[in-house]
Amino acid sequence: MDCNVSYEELARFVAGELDDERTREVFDHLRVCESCRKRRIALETVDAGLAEMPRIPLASRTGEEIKGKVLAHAQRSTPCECGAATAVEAESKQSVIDKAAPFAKAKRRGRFVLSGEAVNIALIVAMVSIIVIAALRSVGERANGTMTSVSENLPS
Amino acid sequence: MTAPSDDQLMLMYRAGDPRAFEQLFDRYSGMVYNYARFALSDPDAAEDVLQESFLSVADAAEGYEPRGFFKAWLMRIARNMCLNRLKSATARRQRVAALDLTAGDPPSRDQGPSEALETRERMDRLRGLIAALPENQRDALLLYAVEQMSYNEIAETMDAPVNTVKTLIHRARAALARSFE
Repeated sequence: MDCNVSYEELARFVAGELDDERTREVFDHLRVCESCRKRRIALETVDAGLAEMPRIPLASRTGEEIKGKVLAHAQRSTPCECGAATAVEAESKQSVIDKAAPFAKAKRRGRFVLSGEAVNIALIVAMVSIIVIAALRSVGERANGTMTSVSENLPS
Repeated sequence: MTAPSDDQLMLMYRAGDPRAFEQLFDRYSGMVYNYARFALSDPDAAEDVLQESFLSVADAAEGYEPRGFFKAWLMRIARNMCLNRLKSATARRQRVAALDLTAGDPPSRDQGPSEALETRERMDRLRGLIAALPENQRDALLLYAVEQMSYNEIAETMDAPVNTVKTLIHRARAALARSFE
């Protein structure tokens, strides 16, 4: 017979997440479809494995060390003071927090880094502008000189 | 007396009580480490993610909005840190090569040696298959099955609609089941 139950739908069936009508249909289908019965067993095997999967514990000594560092930071931390972090670390960490919005209003600890970049860009733009203006002026002057010499050579 | 909620603890920490932060660390450090350990397959990197996640929480405490989703927020920070690490080629190589996640397994108390070995082999196989899932499916499944988070919490963590999260999880289960047929 034709099998009209996808693997994903069968996964929803095993998880008990289909509506009543579809649950009955899949249930009836399982009576006649050996392939789906095998799939159901495989899904239940996976679910049992996931349920049994042990958590991976953190070694207690390491856990205490990390806890000590974190709590020391938390105690001295008025949120903007992050003494040990370099600008790059701070910016990287901030991007992780920003990505976690909208839970938290983003605090821009990287503001100084960003404003430094903005100043650099403004300086570069200014220098390029000066060079372009100077070049244009020079070209203009040469053109004027050529025009003058041409007009001097014209017969009166 | 009931334990204070996560939001209450964050507000207490913001008001200057560092013990509140310690309670949050005790409540969720295991979850963050376990998730990072699965996601990165590297105990040292998982320890770094644990530490950096809580440092970030401390730094961002002032802007935290207490809406009842602290756990999802924390796990989202941890997940972003894991994703950043996985982006580097080195971490990617490590993830493929170092599927040896068995070192941290607690010893089984009520199984004979052959049963324990069988369970361990099955778990190893399952972990290997989970590690090979597409990133979104793997994360959704880990948060659901191992960290026992609700669909809503996972949706908040992954910044995805609840129905998308359900689809990712069932797709992941189906993909794993194909290997167990």
